[in-house]
Amino acid sequence: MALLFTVLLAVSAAILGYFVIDFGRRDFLKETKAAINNEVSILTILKNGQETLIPYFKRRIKEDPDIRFRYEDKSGKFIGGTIDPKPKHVQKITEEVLGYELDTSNGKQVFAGKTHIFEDDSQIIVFRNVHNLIKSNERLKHLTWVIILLMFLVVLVSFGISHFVVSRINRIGAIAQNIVETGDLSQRLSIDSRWDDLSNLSEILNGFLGKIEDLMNGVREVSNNIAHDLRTPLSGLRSDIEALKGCIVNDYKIESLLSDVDRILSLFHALLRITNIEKGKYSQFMREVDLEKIVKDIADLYEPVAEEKDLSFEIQTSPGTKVKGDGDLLSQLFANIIDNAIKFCPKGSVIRVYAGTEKNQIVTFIEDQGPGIPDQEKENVFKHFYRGDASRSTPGNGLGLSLVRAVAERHQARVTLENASPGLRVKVSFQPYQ
Amino acid sequence: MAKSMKILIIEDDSKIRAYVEKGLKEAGHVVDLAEEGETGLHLASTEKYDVLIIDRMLPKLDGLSIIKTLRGSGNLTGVMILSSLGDVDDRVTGLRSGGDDYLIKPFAFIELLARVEAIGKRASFPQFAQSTLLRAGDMEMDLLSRKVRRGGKYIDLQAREFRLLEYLMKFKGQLVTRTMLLEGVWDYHFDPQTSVIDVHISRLRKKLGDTNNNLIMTVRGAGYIIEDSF
Repeated sequence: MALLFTVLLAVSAAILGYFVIDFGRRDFLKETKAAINNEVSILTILKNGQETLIPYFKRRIKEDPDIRFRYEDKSGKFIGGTIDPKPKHVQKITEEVLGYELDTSNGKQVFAGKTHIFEDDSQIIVFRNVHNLIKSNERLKHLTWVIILLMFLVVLVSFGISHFVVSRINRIGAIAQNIVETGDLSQRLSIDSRWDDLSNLSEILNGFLGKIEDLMNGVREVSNNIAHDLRTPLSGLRSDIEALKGCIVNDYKIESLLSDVDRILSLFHALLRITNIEKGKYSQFMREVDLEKIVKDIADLYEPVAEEKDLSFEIQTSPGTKVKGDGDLLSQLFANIIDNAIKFCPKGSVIRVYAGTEKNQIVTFIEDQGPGIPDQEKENVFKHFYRGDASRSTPGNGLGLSLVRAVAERHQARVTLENASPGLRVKVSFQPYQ
Repeated sequence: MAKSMKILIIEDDSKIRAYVEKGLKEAGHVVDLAEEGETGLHLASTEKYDVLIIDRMLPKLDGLSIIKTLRGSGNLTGVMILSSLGDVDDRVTGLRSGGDDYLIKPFAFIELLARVEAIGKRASFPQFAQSTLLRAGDMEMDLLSRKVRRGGKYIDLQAREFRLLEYLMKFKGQLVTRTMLLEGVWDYHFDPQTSVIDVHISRLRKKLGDTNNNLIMTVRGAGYIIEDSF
């Protein structure tokens, strides 16, 4: 393809060059010859009419500074005109037309001259100044060469570019093909420069690949975790069922098996919910909701639970906490955080719940007086199934904070874990409703 | 136990169909079956049922279209939608198409039974929804003045406690599951990890002087019931 393009360009350059040269030469010859022939035929008519030619010469020379005459008898003796002595020709232009160099007011210039012999054997030489014609013809020739040279350069450059572009596209295609065949998403397109559109495209495609890889890794991680986390309860279930072989099954045993299954199902359900939230399936339920009300309602829901542990809520809210969101999801977010706070709070302590504005953001936090989370574990607690040392002995599935983060991200909110010394402050910062 | 109802199950999964049929019959109900949408719609529009249990995804005619067709022809039979689509928006589209309740597979049978009976009750006693005075044994609940009396003594309940008791009383004689309470009283559609509902119930019992759990009885692994005989 690249080659074809280059060849076409080269051929058109050659045609253009030939055409220009050819046209220039013929034109130059024709004009001069025609002008001289014209002069000669007028002179022949005058001569045949028995008129003297001298006044005509004078008139013509006055009229046209580019013309010269030399009239001589058959022995070559000068009779009239302006050129004497007879000059020697310096070049041959065509068969009949010869080139001479004659003096002019601008120094020596080239004239084309044609000798005509009349019937009485006297002869006339008609000269015509072709200096400018030759000059412009030469200029044209030079210009043509420059054009041909430029076109040749264009041919070279275009060949280079097309070769470069095509080979880059082929390389991108090859890598894409390789990714399709091997399924290896860690491959990236090479970017050798930054200035052209192809590099731009490569960068976008690399970003695309990166995003897919992240998603795939996420899916792989989750499925590994599921496989890992479900193996324990599933193998427990299996051995329990196996143990029932040959036994008389009673309701108690069935209940215990069912609760095993229910636990596995609820784990699946929780994971599915997180995945759905992460992929944004809930967006159609985003509307104006008031965080103050949501937080208060959830605290109200958990208040008797807290009371059982001799805990109390200290709720502080201020108005203007409206955000765009899904009320049910946000309720679950705060339910999970408050549920955690109740789990880890020592008996008799206070859980502080806050919803208000801070700078340009709407900030909520829930603060307990429990053991807190060590700094090095703070990122880990958001991972699916992660359970810190402090939480291993408490009930839960290790998905509570994963869901909190998923819901927060769905709402473009940020979850941060801060030390409340003593205790943990879970802060969620939202963008205000517009 | 609630009175016997005539129930139609439209479900293509033979395992679930048999399982639900067996359970409902044991609970004393009369059950008809349909395996796909067209037969189901035909039965539902020609016979008189108390409750229809309709799977959302069915061969020939899907569940939501059946419900829309029935509602369009003025049939107001109570409908329970079964679905493995468990997202909030799936639930909302299900209920918008005319379903009375929505249950996500897999489900515990007792949850299905409690909800189906609740739908049946709502449909068969439309006047009970307007009734403003609820009674159970020596307890009286006035929905207008928002007062509760037990044994002639007024009991001071918080708004949330009042609504919880009201819900249980409205479905007197029927099992009410924890998720039903969470949805009906709090309007939450998620499952809190801790047994928050149990704690609310025990607090309500304390206020009502229900020390031996005679008034609000616990059904193990399922929910609560205020017995009819009370």
